[in-house]
Amino acid sequence: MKTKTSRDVRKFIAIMILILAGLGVLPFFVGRFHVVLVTEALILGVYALSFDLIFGYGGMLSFGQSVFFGVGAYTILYSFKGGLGLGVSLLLAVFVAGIFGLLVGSAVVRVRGAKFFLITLVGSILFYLLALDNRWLTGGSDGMIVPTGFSGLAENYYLVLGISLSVIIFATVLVNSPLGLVFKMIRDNERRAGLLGYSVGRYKVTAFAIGGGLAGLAGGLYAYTTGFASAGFFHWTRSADAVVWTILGGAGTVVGPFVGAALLTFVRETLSAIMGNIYPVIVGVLLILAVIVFPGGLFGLLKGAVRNFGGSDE
Amino acid sequence: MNDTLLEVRGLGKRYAGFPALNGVDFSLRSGQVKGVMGPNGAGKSTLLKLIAGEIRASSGSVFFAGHPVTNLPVDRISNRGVSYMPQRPSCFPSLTVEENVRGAAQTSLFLSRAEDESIVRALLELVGLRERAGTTAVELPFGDKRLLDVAMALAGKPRLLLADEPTAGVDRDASEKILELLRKMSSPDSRGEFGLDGLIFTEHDREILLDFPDEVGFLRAGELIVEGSPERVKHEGVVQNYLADHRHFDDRKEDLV
Ligand SMILES: Nc1ncnc2c1ncn2[C@@H]1O[C@H](COP(=O)(O)OP(=O)(O)O)[C@@H](O)[C@H]1O
Ligand SMILES: [Mg+2]
Repeated sequence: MKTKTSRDVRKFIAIMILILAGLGVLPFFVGRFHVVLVTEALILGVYALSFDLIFGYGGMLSFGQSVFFGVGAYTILYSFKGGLGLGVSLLLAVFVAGIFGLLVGSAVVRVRGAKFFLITLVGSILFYLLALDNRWLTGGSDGMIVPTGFSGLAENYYLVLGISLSVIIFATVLVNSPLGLVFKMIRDNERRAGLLGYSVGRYKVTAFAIGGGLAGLAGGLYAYTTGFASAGFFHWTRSADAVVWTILGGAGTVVGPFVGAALLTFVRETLSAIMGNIYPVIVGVLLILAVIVFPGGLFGLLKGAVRNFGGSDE
Repeated sequence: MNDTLLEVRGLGKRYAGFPALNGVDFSLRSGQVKGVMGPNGAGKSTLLKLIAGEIRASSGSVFFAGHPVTNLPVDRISNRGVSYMPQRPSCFPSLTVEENVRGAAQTSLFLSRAEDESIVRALLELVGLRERAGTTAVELPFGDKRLLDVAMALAGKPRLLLADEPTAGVDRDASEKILELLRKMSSPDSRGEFGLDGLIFTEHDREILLDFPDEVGFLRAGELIVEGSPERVKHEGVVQNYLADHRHFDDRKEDLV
């Protein structure tokens, strides 16, 4: 049993290395359009993963993830306006969005079930309206330019690839740590976690702070690489995106959210070129399939395929 | 007074006006085992949940090791050394048996400590789930789930264990194992690493109740109406009536199985 698991892990690592190698040389083989697209997919993967820490591991179906994305984007914007460098600006984005995660989390974690979902949705809409109205701060729906100076597409791509990889490693360590175990316990059975001495509320807030910080990182990278931020970054449909990508890719896994985000980013780009309005239909069908036919998400399917590949050990 | 582990004074609970527990008084000395019996709905679970802090008391107070713990948050009471094992199996279904116990035992959030690992191993050994360590908890048979519950309840090395019907619905084999464990953990000469300072459990099986604990309490309609040694309690009229009824109930159940 043990050897089978470790063999799976080895296969998995081998495949990850292959994918990474592919991603590493990608800019040499594809055009600018696709480099930009993969950059975006990776950033959105980080964003989806930030949500998965709250939902797939912390067990909270939050519709407020766009708040942290928007906060991260505008933190970068103002940090650059203030003349700070990229590294500091990204750290600031993580930090400020993490604080927002802490505050929002503290406000909502006592609420449960459908009420929780509604309250985070309403909060998300509220933040969007605030961002929309305060044009002096956000530029409203027209948005604002992020004064990044010019950096090359490939440079951006490698920056985002490096950060995505670091985030994946961080998240993998986190979810396998004792703290990650507490998150999973709370997701599975809040009551028993409390009886065993865990202050459930505090851990949920922690999940929100970490998930918020990572969403801020994604928002910051998005604003940086596109050179633009607008009130639309806060829109609740962006929260819904994170939910959809994560469920489709596989909630409660580190790689799943990337799979979901990447797939739908490509589907959206490809389809919008061919036929405008069919994207929501496709997403709907995929989601229904994800929930009914492959509840482990696409990543679960892929894992199964990998396990069976050359399946001498099965 | 010094060796009083738990003291409950005038403890009461109303659910939306309905009195589930009415001014219950009792105490538990260090090293003592108390059994609580009574018909369904008598308030047995309510009593244990109140002590554990899972629900808020409407009246009265609870002292643990001399300190007031009434209505403290459940995790704080747990961390003081009171462990409540719920009436229904209550594990973490998507996690493995080993993870369930590790989560209950771990003492650091950032590293997995060697001591914690050895506690996990010892507990799995103790409850006999070592072979099942890699099994997802949801897939365990009912009796093993209950054994897992016991392992988790002991993992924090509590001083007082509140076990709510630990053998209800469990087959004879697992039931004997669980009782054997509880007996061992609470008997001063053989308790070892996970030894308890006190044990309160509720039960429906009269044999167990009248044999194993130092003291038995009989709850009816939220009142603790009889309390004392098993010898004494079993000769009380109300208890005898209850046991006679219960016997029929048990016989019926046996027929059904
Ligand atoms: N959450 C609740 N809301 C309302 N009534 C409850 C609740 N929990 C228990 N009760 C009632 O309180 C009484 C005592 O319940 P309980 O302590 O579970 O009894 P026992 O464990 O002895 O079977 C019962 O009449 C039960 O219906
Ligand atoms: Mg009960």
